Amino acid sequence: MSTLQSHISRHAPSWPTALAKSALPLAVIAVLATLMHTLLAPAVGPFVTNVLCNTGIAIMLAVSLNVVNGFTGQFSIGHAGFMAVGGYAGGVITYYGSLLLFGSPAAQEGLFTTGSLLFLGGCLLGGLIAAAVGYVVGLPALRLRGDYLAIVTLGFGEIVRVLLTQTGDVLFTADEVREAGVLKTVTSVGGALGFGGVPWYNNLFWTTLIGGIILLICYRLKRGSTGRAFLSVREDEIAAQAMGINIAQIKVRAFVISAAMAGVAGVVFAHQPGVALNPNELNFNRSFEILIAVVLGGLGSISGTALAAIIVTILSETLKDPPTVILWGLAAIALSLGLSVTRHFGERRATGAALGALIGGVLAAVLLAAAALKYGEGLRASMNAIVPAPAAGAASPAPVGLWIAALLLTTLAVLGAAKWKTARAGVAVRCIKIALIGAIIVAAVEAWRLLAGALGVDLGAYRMILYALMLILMMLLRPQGLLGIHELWDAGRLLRPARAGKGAKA
Amino acid sequence: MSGTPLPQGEPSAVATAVATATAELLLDVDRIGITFGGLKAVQNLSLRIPAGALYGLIGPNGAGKTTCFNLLTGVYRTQTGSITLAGKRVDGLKPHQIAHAGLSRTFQNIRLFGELTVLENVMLGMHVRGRHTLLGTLLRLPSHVGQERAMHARAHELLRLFNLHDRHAEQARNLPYGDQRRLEILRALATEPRVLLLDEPAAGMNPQEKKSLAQSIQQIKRQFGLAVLLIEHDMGLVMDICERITVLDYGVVIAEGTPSEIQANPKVIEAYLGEPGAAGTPPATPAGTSAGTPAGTPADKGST
Amino acid sequence: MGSLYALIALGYTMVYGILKFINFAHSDVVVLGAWFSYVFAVKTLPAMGIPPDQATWWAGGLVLIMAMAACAAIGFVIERAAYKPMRKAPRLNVLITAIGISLLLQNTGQLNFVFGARPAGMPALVPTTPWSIGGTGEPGSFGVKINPVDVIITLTAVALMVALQVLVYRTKLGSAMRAVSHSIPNAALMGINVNFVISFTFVLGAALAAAAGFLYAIKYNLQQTAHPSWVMLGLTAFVAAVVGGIGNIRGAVLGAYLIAAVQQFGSLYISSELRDVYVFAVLIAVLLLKPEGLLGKVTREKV
Repeated sequence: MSTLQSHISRHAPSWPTALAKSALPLAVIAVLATLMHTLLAPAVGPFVTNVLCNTGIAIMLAVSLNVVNGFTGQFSIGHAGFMAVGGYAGGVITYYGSLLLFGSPAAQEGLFTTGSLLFLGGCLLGGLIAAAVGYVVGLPALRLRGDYLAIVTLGFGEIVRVLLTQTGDVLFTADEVREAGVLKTVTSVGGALGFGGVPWYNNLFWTTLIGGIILLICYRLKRGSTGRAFLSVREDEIAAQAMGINIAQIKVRAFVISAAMAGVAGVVFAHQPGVALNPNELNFNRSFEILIAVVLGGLGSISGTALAAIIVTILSETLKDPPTVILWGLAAIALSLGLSVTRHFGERRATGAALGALIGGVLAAVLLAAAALKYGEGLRASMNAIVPAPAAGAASPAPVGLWIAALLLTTLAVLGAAKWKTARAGVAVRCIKIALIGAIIVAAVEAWRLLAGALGVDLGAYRMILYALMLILMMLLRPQGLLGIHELWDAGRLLRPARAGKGAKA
Repeated sequence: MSGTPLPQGEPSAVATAVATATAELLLDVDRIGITFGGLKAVQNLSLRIPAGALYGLIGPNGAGKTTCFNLLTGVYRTQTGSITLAGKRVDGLKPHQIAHAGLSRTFQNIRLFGELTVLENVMLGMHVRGRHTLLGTLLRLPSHVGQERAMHARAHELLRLFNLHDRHAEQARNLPYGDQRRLEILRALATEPRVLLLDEPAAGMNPQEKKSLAQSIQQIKRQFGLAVLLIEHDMGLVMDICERITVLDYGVVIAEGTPSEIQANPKVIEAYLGEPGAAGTPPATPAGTSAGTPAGTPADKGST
Repeated sequence: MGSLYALIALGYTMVYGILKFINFAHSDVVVLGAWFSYVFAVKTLPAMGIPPDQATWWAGGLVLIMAMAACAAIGFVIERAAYKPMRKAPRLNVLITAIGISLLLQNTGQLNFVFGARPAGMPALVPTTPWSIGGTGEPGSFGVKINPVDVIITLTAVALMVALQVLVYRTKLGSAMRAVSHSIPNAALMGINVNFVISFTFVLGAALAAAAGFLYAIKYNLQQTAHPSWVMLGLTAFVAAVVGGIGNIRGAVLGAYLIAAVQQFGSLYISSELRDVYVFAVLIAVLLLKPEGLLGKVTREKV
């Protein structure tokens, strides 16, 4: 057999074809971004647009962490640090740049202005600086095992935070800036009071565009040989080394790429309407929220991580302002259905149940989204999505049509799972049991909510508890996360019954 | 030792070059050794493996065979002596550099990339022979796409050798045990090695599988023009296909020679504590000698 | 401070020695210990007829014991419910679970009906007027002003450490603990009830953490349970354990005092704001130069 290199020239496509194929997804993303911005945003209103942008940022952060934690198997829990570094760098560019060029830090109207060029430049610079920092953080990773690396990355996140709180006050006029010189300006980012005043250039267009590009990068990375190398390091370092993979280089690369993407996400975040950068908000809790999205969605799965990021964001929105429990309960049922039956992916028996589970899971996401959007919009006038709303104890009645439809759909899912080509009726029984458990959850949640309402408790505080519980349960029941290393688009292959089944030792 | 057998089948560029330099040693291991704390795991070990050879490395459990492999592949750094691969010194290099130089291995306890598919495992073996640029990956430049497709095609070719190509999309950890071992060999082959180290490739196989494996090893050796060094406990297999055997005990070479010489060597028999008859029986069929293996396999004299 | 770190570090090191994993949730037990002490001091003592402000020595001791008991119970529950099922799981998962529990403890403690989100101060259970030793303690004289609170903290901590030392090295249970930390299967084969030993280790660690919390509480104000200052406390103690050699009891104590010293000197001579940074700097230095810690042993992975 001939060597690899001799094959390549035979298989290589021509330049025009390759470039066209390469650019196609970019074009699609650009079109999608334009559509989202011009059609969707005005239709759903500013609050929902804000939520969508926040979701986009969460997705960007989660998939970037996935590159290091999921693909390469390193345990990095200081991700908010990269976000902060990038965000502040980008903010400095746009704020002080605007100050110097236009005299005022206010955002300019319109999509493609000089101001937005500053924004993009900020994105680039934020990404690059974060990448450099990622390199520095990646170096210790070469020497440290899992637990220790976790502590060091945690420490890194905290160090960034502490250093940022030590910075000087923000300068307000162009003259002050010119007086201060470059070094002082760069370090005048507000300290513990936060970096307010960064012009809010982000909107659905940019979020979708940049988010789409980041997702595309992750996808191409995973499909290409570099992604495979990452995964091999995660699976078995020693074997990977024996096969000629330079694991030191790979690990550092993973950190650099991941940090760069997080930095860009940080810049986008900094320019999000309603956001004022504050180092005390970019702390371990933030890192943890990103981490939980990655762990829940599946360490190593891009689509799983993105999905989980969506769910986590929606969950935080929902918890600030809980909708009626019926919707919530239905979502819980659908989700638990999906969760417990997804373990049948790849096994021969419960093909139909697996499909039902998929439907259930998607339903859950849809229901939660509906809940969040429906109930948030009417009650929120302000665009600041970070301030938690005061406890809303009253249960607002859902529009009848909405929850009848939801009920029907869920029943369909359960029935479909029960009847469809399953080998045993046991699966149907299991589904019913799950529905029962879900009902109990609903009742408990309702009781709790009423009690909380009576006591005037802010349910937003439960957010972290809920996350913690989800995390623990996930680790106990399904450690690889929702999708594990697979992607949503692999589901078709996995749902087909396996030929030989699980292997047995000879 | 007379000349090595000529490569048959489709000769690769590597095999032709090697055939013209048969006197040259492909792997020259000169008195390597390593000590862990107080334990002299390997001492003064020398091996001389010419191109196209199939050598064996045997010894009781705990003799230091896998440690020897680890020394050769750079997992441990030898404290004495030198290792030369095709004229180039490789001791002291990192494992991935040694793999690049052309030394590849399988593991005693299977170390596949379990969550990845069969095909991806083999393609990862080829990683070391490709050029991987970030730009190429992200922009899907022609060179990168071509390389991907080439790797794909070649991986399929390799899988066909062991009839695994129709299960290429399965996760590696779902394969039956014997197939996993074979996959590991294929993955090592994908690195285009010049010397292949196999660590107990027949462990856990039944006699038919062992026979088939023995044939496959010889065929692979011929087809790819490799030198192969084999660690094995199954005496039948070793005596059957190895041209020369080195015997290790307590980290020291106690004997070296052709299979018949080894079987008659009293030190070897003593090391294994087997009955003189069992170790001395010339291998008839692999099935016949596998029956003799339990007597030949030693009682554990030390820990693994 | 060093003593406080030492007490907490011991908990970390013991758990690591036995189960080979870092119990992220440990620092949260400290917090709980502190808060339990507060609750007991404020609510229980009066119920027993002792107004908190006029408490005597043994009342303080009583609060300490109650807090230790409470935390020990919690430690036991955590171990049984969350860590035991994960004994065979890959380390990453256990770590994530530990983080989950840590957050759970933090945020549950912050809820209104548990401890609330506001800081609180411990009533004075011990005398707080400073003693002067050798001179009046005024600037210019040779004497040293020592706050009896600090003395009590150090003495209690040292007493507990000595007790631990005796337990681990002189008693049968201690030998069992050491056996399990070497090898679980071997210890089991020797007839040691491994589950009991593991649970006991956790409980012991939790009790020590509670003691640390109590001692902290009588000196400093209590912030809400999720306040980052707690995280730093725990993290510093963890760094101390690592620096001294994780898995090594004497090392933990050594590391703790070392870190405390570094912090003090750093604060004095460089900047007190960057106190946390010093800790991490030391950690990174140690991990890069001598990862097994000052007194630790190198372990090799078998290929």
